[in-house]
Amino acid sequence: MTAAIHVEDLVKTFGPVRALDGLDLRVEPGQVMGFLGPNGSGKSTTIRVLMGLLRRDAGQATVLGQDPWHDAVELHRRIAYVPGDVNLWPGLSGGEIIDLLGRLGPGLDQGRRAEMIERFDLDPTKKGRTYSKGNRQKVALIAALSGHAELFVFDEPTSGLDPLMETVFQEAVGEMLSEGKTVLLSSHILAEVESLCDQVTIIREGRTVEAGTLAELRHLTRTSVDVTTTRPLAAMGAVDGVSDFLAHDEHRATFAVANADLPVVMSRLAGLGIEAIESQPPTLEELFMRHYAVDGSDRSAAPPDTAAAGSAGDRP
Amino acid sequence: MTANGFAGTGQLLRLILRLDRIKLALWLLGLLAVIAVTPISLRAIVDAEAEADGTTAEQVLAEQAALIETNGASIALQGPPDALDTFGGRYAFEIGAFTLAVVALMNILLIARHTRAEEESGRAELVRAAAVGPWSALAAVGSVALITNGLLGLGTSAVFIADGRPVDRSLLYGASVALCGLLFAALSLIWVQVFEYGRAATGMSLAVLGASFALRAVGDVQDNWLILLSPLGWVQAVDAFGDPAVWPFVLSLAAVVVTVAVAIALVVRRDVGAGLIEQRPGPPQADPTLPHPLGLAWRLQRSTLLWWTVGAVALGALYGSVISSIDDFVEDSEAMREVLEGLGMSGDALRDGFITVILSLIALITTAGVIQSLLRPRSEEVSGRAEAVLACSISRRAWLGSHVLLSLAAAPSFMLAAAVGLSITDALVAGGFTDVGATLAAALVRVPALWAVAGIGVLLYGWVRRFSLGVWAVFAGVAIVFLFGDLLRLPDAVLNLSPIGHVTHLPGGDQGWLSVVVLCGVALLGWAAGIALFDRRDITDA
Repeated sequence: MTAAIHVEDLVKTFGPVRALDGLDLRVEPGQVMGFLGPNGSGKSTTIRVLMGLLRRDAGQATVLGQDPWHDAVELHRRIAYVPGDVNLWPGLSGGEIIDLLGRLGPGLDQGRRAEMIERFDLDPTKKGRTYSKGNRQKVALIAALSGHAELFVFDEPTSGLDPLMETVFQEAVGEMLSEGKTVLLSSHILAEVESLCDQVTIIREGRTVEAGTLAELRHLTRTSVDVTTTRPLAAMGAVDGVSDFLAHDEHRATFAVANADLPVVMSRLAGLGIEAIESQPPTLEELFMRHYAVDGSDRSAAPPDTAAAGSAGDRP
Repeated sequence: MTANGFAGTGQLLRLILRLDRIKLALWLLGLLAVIAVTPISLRAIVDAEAEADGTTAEQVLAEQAALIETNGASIALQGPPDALDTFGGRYAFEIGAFTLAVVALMNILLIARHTRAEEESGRAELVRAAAVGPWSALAAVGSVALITNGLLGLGTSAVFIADGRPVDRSLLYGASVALCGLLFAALSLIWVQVFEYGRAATGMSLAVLGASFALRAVGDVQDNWLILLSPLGWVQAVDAFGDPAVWPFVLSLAAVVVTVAVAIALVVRRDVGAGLIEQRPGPPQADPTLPHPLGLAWRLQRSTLLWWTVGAVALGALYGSVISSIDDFVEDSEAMREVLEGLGMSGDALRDGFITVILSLIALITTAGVIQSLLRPRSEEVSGRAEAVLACSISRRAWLGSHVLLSLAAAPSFMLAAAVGLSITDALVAGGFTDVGATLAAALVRVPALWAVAGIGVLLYGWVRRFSLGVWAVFAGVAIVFLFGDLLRLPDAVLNLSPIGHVTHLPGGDQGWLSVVVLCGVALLGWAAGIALFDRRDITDA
């Protein structure tokens, strides 16, 4: 099966700045791909290339089997796009803008339109200039979700939405998935990504640094451990794979373990006589922090013991 | 509140000067250059003629004054024919109402940029959240206007003093120029309180400016009270080099004080970011014509285009109402008729000449409207709204093409509207229509000139967005050549580059069709190349 989105070695430069520097991204049909990266890492640039708004300088990009630049008009009948910063026409009402974007794009299902307006609790008679940031976002979301798109591209879609509306959005995306639609979701709200996405791509400085299922990515990182032993455990701090070692007293400590080293560390601990143990798998946030921390070295292959100092150790 | 009402004004003042240091410097230098070049070139012309005729410069000046006083077209364009037998008076006449209108424009844009536009962008909210009083923004931008207009006035006086004009008269003239700027700055301060959007506020100020220009033109030609309705008329009534009047200063200063007081009162009666006119709700569903490239472009541009059309009718109507007075000049003046007949011209030539100048002037002014229309895609792109539409199933050609199509249709609409307005009021005053066909044809012949400027604009926009504002530089060039080309004694090659004024001498003259063909060619090339280039470039916001 051809990928819904296939990007390989994508390069985009703005003058001397290399915004995308060999980026890879692959989204299979029916998947929800979380697209993560720090500010300025190239998420929006990638999305704009995929929407045919920017012309790539090198590399490959296909969307639904077509070229996003040359086949833009045809493609856009099958894609719904919500930009991160929605700017509306000041003199058009919300309802007019929904109709405009929907009909010019992947079409509009009147029943769904009414339902979405109801669910997102939007007043469609207000003029574009009078909407708050969250309401502007809702207008674009309703236009996108009321159509017949095969692929949804969301660039930080819930920024400005209240938690209630975030839930509405997540439910709506869930329904799209059950209909077999594909979603590319760029977001900073990690809880949202964790609950919606089965796949995640993390980029940094215009390159992909991590891609895979959340489970796979978790395997690359580490587990935090809070353990109490019958014998003193000070020596654990020196074991390979243990980091952020913090001894509360002779018998109790918290530390982080690289998942690959977990078997060795656990058997050492067993030898010390475990009285109580609590372990926590890495959250997406920790995963994310590894790549966000400002450090130029490529650490996708390196042991994660130097990254995210402190975050695991502080856990009770 | 009163004590702290102006808190932080100094900081804001420095901020504005920092943001605008280049922009304002260019405005001032440009205006002073136009003002400074006037004495130099006029003196050269007069001296050359004196030498050729073996008379003195003063005599030449007096002869020319007599001619200008009967030339309604010049008066309508430039101002009252006061003190034309003095060098100072003649310079002031040549600098003219149009330069004063540009001074007003500088002030209108300055005020809108630092008041309503700041609120619209939300930046004003950041500023007001700091220890800044409700009137500080007004006071800061007002101070900048004072400084800018003060410098302009002093610079103008310096130019006249350097030419050897009396110091007191030169200072008076400089003061009148500065006053003109302040009047329109104060006026703009009110509109930016009333309207929630900078575009509407600027539009309103420009409408007042246009009305002022037209009212004083009619008032000057008919030498009547109409100039009292026009701030530009007040400024020109100062008559610094003839019989100076004090009342214009009193009236202007009173107007400035009152408008500023009203603005100050309005600021604290409204919310930050809000206007005084409430927003009405819109329809919950779109009209079926909206979701089409042309339907959308029309919806976004229609109010601008309609207002420009109304303005063109009004402008034409105002000038049309004075055409009969031109005929009266000739009938009243036996000498004038003899001069004209000696030149092989009938009285009609003067009428035709007037209409020619007026239609060219209207063509120049409405070019600004066409440019405004064709730059609409630019503001759509900068705001990120173009991105939303182009991410839909619209081709770039259809999107840009629709906007371009409207700006092209705008040119003949504006010109015809003006010609119709002109013909109707002329007929009302004269009691019958005269050569309406010729007037309409003369208006239409100028349309390719507008198209050519638009073509350059489309080309620049399609090529690199940041170049697109360069079309205003083209406009400025066209305006300078049209208004000052003869005075500056620019070579014919340069004069012929200006699409307006030199494309045609209709009505009443011969029409060279080559220039029309060339202009249409430039326009077509510009549109085609602009749209083709736009197809290949990145769409970006900010």
